Amino acid sequence: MAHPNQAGGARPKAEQRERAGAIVVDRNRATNKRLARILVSAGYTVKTYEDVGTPLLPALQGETGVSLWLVVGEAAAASNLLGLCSATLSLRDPKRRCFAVLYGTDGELDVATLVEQPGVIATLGQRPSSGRLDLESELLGIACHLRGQPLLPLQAYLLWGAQAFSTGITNIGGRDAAEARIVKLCTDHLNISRRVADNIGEVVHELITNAMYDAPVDDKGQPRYAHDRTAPIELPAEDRVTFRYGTDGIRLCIETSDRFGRLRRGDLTRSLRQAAAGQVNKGQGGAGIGLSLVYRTSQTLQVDVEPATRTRVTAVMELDVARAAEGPRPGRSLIFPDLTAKSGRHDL
Amino acid sequence: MSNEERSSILGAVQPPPKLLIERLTEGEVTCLRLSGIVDEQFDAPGLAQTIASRYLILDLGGVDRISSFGIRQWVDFIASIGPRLGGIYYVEGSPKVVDQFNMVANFGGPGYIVSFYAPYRCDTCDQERRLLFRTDEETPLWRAGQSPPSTCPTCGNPEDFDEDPATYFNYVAQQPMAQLPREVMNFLRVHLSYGQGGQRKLKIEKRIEGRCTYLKLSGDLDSDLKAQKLADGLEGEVVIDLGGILSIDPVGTAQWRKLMQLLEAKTGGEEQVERINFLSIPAPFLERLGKPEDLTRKGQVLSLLIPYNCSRCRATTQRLVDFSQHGDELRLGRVPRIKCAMCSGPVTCVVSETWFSRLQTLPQTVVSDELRRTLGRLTAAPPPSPPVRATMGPMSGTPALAPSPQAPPPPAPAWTQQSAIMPSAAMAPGPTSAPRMTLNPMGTAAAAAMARPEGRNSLLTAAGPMVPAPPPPPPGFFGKLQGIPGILPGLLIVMLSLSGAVVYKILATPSGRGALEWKVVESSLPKAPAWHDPRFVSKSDHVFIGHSPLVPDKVEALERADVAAQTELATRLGDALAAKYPEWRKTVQPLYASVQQGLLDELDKAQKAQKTQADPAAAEAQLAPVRERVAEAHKRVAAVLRSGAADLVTAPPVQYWEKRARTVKNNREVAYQASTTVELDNSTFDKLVNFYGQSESAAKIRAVPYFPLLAVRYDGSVAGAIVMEVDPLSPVAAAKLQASDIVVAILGREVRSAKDFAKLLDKAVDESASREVIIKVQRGDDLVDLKLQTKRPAGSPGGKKGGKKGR
Repeated sequence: MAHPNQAGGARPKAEQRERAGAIVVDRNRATNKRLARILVSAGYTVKTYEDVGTPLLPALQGETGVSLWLVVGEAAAASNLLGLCSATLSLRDPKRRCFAVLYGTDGELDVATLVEQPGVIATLGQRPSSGRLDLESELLGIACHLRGQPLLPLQAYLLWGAQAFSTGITNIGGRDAAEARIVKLCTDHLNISRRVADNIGEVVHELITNAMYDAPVDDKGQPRYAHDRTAPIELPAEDRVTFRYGTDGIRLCIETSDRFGRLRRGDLTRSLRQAAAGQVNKGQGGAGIGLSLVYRTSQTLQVDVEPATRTRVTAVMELDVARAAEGPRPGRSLIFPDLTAKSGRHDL
Repeated sequence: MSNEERSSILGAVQPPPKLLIERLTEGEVTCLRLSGIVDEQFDAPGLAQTIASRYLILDLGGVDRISSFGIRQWVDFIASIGPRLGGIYYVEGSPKVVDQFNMVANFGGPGYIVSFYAPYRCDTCDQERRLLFRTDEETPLWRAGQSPPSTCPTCGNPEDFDEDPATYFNYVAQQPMAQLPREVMNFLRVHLSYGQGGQRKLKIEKRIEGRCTYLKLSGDLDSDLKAQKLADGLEGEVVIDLGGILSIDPVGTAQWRKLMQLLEAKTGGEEQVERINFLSIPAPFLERLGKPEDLTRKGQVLSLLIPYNCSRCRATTQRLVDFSQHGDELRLGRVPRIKCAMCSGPVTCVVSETWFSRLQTLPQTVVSDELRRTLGRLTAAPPPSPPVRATMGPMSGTPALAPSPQAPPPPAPAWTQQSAIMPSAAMAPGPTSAPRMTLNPMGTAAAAAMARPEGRNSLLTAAGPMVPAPPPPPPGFFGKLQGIPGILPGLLIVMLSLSGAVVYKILATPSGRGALEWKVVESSLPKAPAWHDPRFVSKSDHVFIGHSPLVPDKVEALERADVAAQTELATRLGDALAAKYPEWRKTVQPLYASVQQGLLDELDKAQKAQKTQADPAAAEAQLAPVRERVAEAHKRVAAVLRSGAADLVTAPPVQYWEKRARTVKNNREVAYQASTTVELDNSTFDKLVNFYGQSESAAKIRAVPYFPLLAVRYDGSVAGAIVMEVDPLSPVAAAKLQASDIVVAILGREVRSAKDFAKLLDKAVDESASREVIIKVQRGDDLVDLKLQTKRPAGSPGGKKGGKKGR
């Protein structure tokens, strides 16, 4: 079976791959070198800068044969990287695309603002010096994705050997059963804190509810069920939500996918903005803060959308939640590449 | 029994709903207590319509989760009721609710947080705990964004605050302090025990009439329950009304068990407790503390509170059911059919599988007419002052719960013709047996009047709170003394001086009590684990802990602790089997229960006799043989458990030992004490239950494996399979094999398991056609040989005539 990512979209085949370049900006030379090596392994030509204020546009313009640019930098370099993306867009060169990935802790990154910026496809919560390889593996996954590979699957977030399970959900009963099952798994089998289990249960609830009520559209593209969240619905078998989960005892991954591919970055940014302002929707549809609740609970939230084909949302949650007494919490990662919309191509 | 099977029998019984809403309205105040999950099914407009009082108290301590749409529903609910109410007050907000206050603007609307929970965690014990903070505290630390320090009640180590304090306390710290309306304050004080230095502090009311003592517990069952103090002076017929219990924590559980042990031990002495009667047991209480050993042999349940949930307005209604009259129906899964007291909508009974299994193990209730009459008098409250009107909710128009001549009598439950619930607090005639929908089941005016502000200390004095005015000076000598000015203070000074002298004498004696106390001089771990404490109560149902007595040898201490843990496991297995397999309860349990109980009684008696013995050596000599017999019996139990289900109990035991020493008359004594814990996961325990409960069949005879607790009655030579049922058409029926027989050998070969039994019995039936075979069974205390010879079909070669047995 062909991977769903190969079914459509604008990704080039391997033999037609464009030349890819990357720019890494970090004040720490060792970090620069480390990230550069990772990008080189994904087939990128990499330039590194230790001065976060260095003008980057000349470097990009000097490489005329490179049509895909990935700029990676720490939070302090955000304005410079965002400026580069904007400048690339303003060149109105349809063959040149530029995407940005920023990393830093929660306090350093204003995620709601950043993901609204054109070209920003991910904000990664871990710093390279954290001693964990989360940032490296996520960065590598994104870099490969830009070059035509699928985004990281659920099991990539778990230790080798961890199993994943999946089921189809068509109604509220199925959702509630899935939610109860995950909470029971967490409390009875994984023996984790009841509060953490409840938070994970909320994530399951939100993801499945969104996929059941907001995703389905009719032939004319009109939402079928989004107007009334309280109505009991029964999805046809072909519209069912696929729910997957897996755990390695350290993390638990939840994934939902539907066949509609309607989730937009704007939905996420709106949700984050609303949650930050403490507001909820008053009109029809959902409350508008479900995705922000998911993001708040997850260590990593990855959204993979093939427009009109598939939406796959993966939430990765730590089972041992660090407490304030143990130092600052690691940041959260948000990966939401939007390769076909206006994020990377100003003229589309 | 599976959930589906249960549902088909019960009809109206369903798994608990996601959100439970309990309601209590009194005067201008309505209190809603929410527990569970708030999601899109939370009917905000419907619930808002039912609020018609001036003040609303929202008890949110039980809210575990709130979905994003649930938040929206909640905000709509608050926005719709806020403008028309005099005030909204949030009490006991769970951490999840506090999160929403911090995150969502207008989550609380114009409401005021009165109290909230903060999450703490002990890393040593791996336990979470919630501490309740009140916003009327003077300069609390949390107002500065810091978490107040807390100590783990189990291990004594400092606990960690399980959130970021600056974020968690952000909303409440900014909330300006406000004065609560008098009506709200009064409601909180009366129904939630606020304003007495605690939040829902446990209150104990005591009334005595003749040999009957009535105790009413209300509030949180926690460390405030002092078992020893409460047990002191209790004797005769004890009645404990549990209808007001709101929650149970581990320390409360341990104290409750201790209280029951103390009352059970009051046998044969001056203070003898004859029976303990339980009234109005809430469902969670029965689930948690309704095991036979928790209720003790003296305990019997008189009435139960059964919760129902309305599918229309989602309110929870509690029904008080007389267990002494309707126990059999309840055990069969039949519950009274009632309607929602709020909206008259259909309600479903929401009780768990555990609740039903507990019912199966409750003893048959015996209530004498005299006890009924006494209870009627004791539970009838004094006239309320000032009168408090308690209604069932503004929309229902239900009459006041307080007895009223105008109130119509309540409808009788569908399955019973009894119109009144006897012999509980609802014994008072009239509407007290109507469905109750209360936060604190003391929803009656009488009950409200009973909850006086004197606090629990004054209530602990027998009949103290019942006396409306100070009694007149007693007549006689002391009465006259009171009339002499200054005489009583003078006497007091003299008595204090004398008691001081006595205390000094005790302290000054070098061989005082302290010198005889054992001190730990060495241990296997630097710090004793929590489970080493005999009062420790595990959160898990499948943790089995055994403690050894003080013995001179370390190996023996460890072995005895192991044996005690395994005996505990066997006992709990017996309970689970009895609950799951009614046939097993009828057939197997009687084989060992009386002997086991007799052994424990003998030990109790010997221990009590030891206390009265003046000579410690003679007392010890008297107690030692009984202890030894019990220890030997337990050793046999452990041995059978190990041999029978060795493959199933794979969890390694965890052991801890202490070496203790003391000096008596200049002689240093050393002894060891050990504890063992065995923890099984749910599936392993279930496998064990299935192993001992599932029968093997052969020749139309069913038998189950030999159960370890049978070893308290039989020595190690007895083992085999226990016959559960003999079909009259079985070829072996002629041999007069009976249910409860323990088949120990067939064809001269030992039966070691139920499978052995099935295999050997089939073989025996085959061979019995040609010769007489012997089935050796243990029947009661006798070992009996049963002879079996089946008839050969007529005309077959070598067949014997006329069913003659033997050769």
